[in-house]
Amino acid sequence: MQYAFRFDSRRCAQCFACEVACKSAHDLRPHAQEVPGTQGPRYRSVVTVTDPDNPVHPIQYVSMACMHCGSPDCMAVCPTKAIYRDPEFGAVLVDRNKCIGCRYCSWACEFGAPQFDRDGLMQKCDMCIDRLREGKQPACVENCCGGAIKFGPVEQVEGDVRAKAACQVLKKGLPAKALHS
Amino acid sequence: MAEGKSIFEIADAGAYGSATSAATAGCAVANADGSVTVPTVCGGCHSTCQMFADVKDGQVLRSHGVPGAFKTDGVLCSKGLAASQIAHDPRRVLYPMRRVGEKHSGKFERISWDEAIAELAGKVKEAVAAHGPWSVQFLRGQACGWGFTYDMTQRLAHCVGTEVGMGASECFVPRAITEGMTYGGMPSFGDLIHADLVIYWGLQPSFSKAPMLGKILDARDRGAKLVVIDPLHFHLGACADQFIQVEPGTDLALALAMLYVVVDEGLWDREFVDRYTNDPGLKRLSEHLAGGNRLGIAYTPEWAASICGVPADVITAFAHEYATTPRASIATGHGLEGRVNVVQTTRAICILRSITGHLDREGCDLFTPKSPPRNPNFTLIDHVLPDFEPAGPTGMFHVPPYNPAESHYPLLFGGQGLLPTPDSLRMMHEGKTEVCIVQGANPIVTQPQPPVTEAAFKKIGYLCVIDPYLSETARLADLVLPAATYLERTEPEWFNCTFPEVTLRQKIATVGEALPDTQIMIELGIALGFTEEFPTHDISYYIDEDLKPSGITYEQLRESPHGVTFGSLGARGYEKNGFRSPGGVVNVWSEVLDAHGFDPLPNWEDSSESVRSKPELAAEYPYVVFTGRSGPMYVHEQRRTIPWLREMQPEGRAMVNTRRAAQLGLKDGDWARISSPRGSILMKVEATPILREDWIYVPGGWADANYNYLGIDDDLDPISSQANYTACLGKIEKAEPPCQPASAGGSASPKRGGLLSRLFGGGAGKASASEEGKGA
Repeated sequence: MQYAFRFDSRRCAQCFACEVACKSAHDLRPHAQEVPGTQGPRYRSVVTVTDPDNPVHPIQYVSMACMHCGSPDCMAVCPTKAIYRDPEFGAVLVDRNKCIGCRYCSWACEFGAPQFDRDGLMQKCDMCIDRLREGKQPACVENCCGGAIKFGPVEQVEGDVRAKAACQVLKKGLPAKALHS
Repeated sequence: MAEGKSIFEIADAGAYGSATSAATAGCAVANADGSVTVPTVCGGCHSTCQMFADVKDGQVLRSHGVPGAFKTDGVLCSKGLAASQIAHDPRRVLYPMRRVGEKHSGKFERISWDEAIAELAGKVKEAVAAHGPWSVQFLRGQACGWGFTYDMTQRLAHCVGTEVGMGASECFVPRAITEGMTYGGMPSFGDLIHADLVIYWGLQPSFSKAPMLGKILDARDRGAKLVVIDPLHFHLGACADQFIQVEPGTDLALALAMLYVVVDEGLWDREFVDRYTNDPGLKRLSEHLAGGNRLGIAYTPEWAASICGVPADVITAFAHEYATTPRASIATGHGLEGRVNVVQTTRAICILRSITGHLDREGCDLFTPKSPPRNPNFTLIDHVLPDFEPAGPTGMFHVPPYNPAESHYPLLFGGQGLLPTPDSLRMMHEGKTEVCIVQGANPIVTQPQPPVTEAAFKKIGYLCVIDPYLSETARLADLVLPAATYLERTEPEWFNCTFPEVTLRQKIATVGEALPDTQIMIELGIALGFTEEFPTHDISYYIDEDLKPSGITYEQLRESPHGVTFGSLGARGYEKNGFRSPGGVVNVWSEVLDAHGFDPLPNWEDSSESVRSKPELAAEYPYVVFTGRSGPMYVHEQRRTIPWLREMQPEGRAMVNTRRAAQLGLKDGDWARISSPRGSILMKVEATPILREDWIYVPGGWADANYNYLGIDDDLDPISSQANYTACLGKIEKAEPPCQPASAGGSASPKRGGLLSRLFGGGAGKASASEEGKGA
């Protein structure tokens, strides 16, 4: 089955909880022993988009991670076939034993998802696959304070959006009682 | 003292309460990886959210949210999620440190807790014997928490015979006392479940209440309208249905004009006003707003528009919408503070909320008890007020009416007995402070005009700083004591201002020889000979003593991972009990303010410096330069050393409007010099469309580009003691990068001595300038 993230920019107030939840779940650098200001790999980061010509929405935020693409460019260009798709959740993963750190993937990726730690090898959002196998949600989803990041099988996340829209058309409040099947 | 044991060993054991280790902490759950999950309370800021911490071998591994917790329901904010890095930050001070070399040398040697406590107790005794108890000052900042931990400091201070002061200007308290004098409490529980209109006014929940964002946005998504009033159009403002951009320091004008519309058009709740306020028919208020006030101003939307920058038709429509939406909530925050008009701004919003029928009603703002009933004499107030007779349990708005000696702000005690900051600093300037014990505060950075504050601190005979870090203030100290972070403290928490529950923060680690502030108070109390007042090292004894009237005990809290509730949140409690303000009714016309010679109805009062109040100054300094919090990952000036957090905002950048930046030739990341009549700082800029072209926002809390060098320290609100420290006039120009990486105060150049020169003439002002010269 293919799982996917869905991001609702209307519910992101840039609190950054998703970033730190991700770093904590994967124990990412920078660690406490390092100099403040050093940058570690950031599997997820909240990007600020400004538009001086839009007085209504001069600023908006998008929390970005790996899109786990259906046809991943990173996978296509990887010379050592280190990038593969997990069959259970459809996560695009990297086998760090095969990765040689050539960075082709980061040149090919349109979303800036591949990250590199001090060992030079690629690492990135893995959908928190260990958590998924325990029946949990990805750390960023579980900790998203505004409820902007959703996750599930692609059919379900789209269905939830339709159910929410249907409620709004009828001016019914949430939680959505509509069922999309 | 138990034989063979050091003070540290005894105090550290006592700080765990009746528990002896994290593994046996109440309701701990063992995990497959050998770690233990302990329910505790976050102290990343003062919102006191419940959290789970995973602990293994004395290390905090990670923190996560508590599903089902009322406020957070399973999430934590960025700060809360970084708990492991906060506890185990290698930059912490881990041992007691005594100064070596000259006074203020900033050089220290490690000593034992036994030596440290003996030395500090000796200094306190000497000072009291030679100069009386008021020569000893206790100053407290945010880092050591409020509620119970504040009570513990007061308990010791009252034993000594003195009073606790704030290490920095009192925020929150001006709003708390104003709401108290108007309607006897704070209706700070916004009923987001039922509201049809949700207003955030000078409050950025992304910064201070991120776990609440889900509830706020759920309200919007089910059809409630979300309005944000702020100078900065970002974070929650970016998600709002309507954003109202108000000039910093002029919220009072907006609130007065909204009142004008409501009264002029008869949109107020007649039944409520006539029955539950002290201005039936709004006779006094309507005359006042129409121009029958000491300024002779009719507070019309057109008048307000010329001040706050919000168009008159927007003000009128918004006032209409608020008054005619029965279920509407207004949440206010720190954005209204740090200005001399904070009390009257809060008053105007309180009156607006009351007369439109939005006080303590479903879908509006509900009263919530701020504190469980506490032992009225836990702080041993009878040691400083011998004829004190407890009238009943103490709550946040029911403290014994007591104005400490040396305090010039009698209305400030409404929140909790304290020595106002201006009085603390005055006593230091006057050389009256022999011993000063600072807990969890860094006034040298956080007070307006750091050179003035530094000069005051340098007059202290003996300075002890209790802090997790060697802060700028600690570097001036004679003794630095390592404070525990919130992960190493056991204490009850109730200071969440929303839901009436007590939760237990549990000590789950020992880091170096750091001790909780509460434990240090106990050890110092014992060393001073107050063995009756401090009969044990075990913190659970003090918790039970303080909470006695509530019936809540330490053991009960240990067994209640979701906390124990006190009081209730029902709407319309006033129908049965009235209000706890004078006369039992809402004081539209404030009896308290009138009795003290202040305006009983709110009048317009400008921020200390504006283009209106200081036009000649504005010719040279045309921008409104203002400050506030730096971002969601920080609280006050704290957490800059935490890598996971610092990564997201490595440096402070001054925000300049995109178009104006282009005119000034400034690009993102360029250096600029920002100046006020008092000083200037070098800072990188960020060009952004979220603020007006004639404003500059300097995020607060950055020691190396510190807004406080620009800010005003010598214009104080006579009611609350609040300085106008968050907004002033200034200018900006492109600058070369500093030659060397900026260090604390290194890039700042104050021009005059502010408060010090006002109080003590030119000599002292010169002294502070030369101190700065030495430092630069």
